[in-house]
Amino acid sequence: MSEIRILLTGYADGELGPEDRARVEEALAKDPELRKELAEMRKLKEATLGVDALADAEVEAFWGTVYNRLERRTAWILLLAGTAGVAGAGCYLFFTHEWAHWSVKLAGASGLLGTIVLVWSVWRERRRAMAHDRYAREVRR
Amino acid sequence: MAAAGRTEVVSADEQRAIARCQRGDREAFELIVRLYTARALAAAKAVVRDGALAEDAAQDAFVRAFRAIRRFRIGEPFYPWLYRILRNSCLTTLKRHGKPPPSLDAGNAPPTAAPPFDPAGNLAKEELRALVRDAMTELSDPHREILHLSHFEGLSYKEIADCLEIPIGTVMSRLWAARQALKKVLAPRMAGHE
Repeated sequence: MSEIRILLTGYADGELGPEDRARVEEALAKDPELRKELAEMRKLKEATLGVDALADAEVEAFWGTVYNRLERRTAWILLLAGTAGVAGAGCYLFFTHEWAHWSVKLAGASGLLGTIVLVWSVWRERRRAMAHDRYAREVRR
Repeated sequence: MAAAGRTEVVSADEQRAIARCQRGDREAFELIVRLYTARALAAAKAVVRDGALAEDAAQDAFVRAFRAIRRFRIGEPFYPWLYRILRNSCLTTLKRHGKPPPSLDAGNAPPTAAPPFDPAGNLAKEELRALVRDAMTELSDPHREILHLSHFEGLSYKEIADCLEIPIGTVMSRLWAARQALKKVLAPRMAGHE
């Protein structure tokens, strides 16, 4: 790959230091092909610069969805905390009171154990996925 | 219609909004979201290549950004920080939908020489823009991504380096390789428009 052509990219984007800029300008003065390449690059960039603007309604709808997602997180935390509290109290009553037969308590314990193993397994899988995600340090999930 | 490209400087209003977001103010976050929605959607689309997935990833990125905004250092450019979160969201979205993740490597392979063409030719600016956008779908993931950041977003090399977490020298060589690849894809399409 030609070094001067790579530098030409930086030149077209206005990103070179004075020394490299002088090298490119010297090469441009001698080589008409290089001048043509520079013109192509500049025209291409000029034609593509800018991101398509969105209609106000699209931005409004987008923000609405983001806001809902932000609020739902709080709702999920409250829901999970409430469910965990009720489930804990239910378990305590279920296992400490004598009205349930031991076989029913055994079935209840089995269901509870299954739920704990499943939750732990999903959590462990997510932890493992995060450990192998090279972008995970940017945002904690 | 296209919005202006490069926005290196974070305005005072934006800085104030970010500071309010860091105190948990969701109303202030609305300004940030409105300011960056178009760019985030376009960038996500360049990574995931699907409009619906791009929207999902961009929304997810803003939610994550709000949660992580306390870690953002006021005074630094905001967009590269947001972009890294967006990129992460794109990868997660692709994974969730069972799609292959974009290739993160092979962006610096020396390309073969591209045939010459005249990008101005007989084409109007909008036609050329559409052709380029279409041609970019045929490029490798790193080439498409860096071309989007440089050409459509108009980011500086420093900002691109921050977005992609690569050295500035790599930005220049990858961009050169990407432009060569783009020219190769564009040349026959341009010929069809002459």
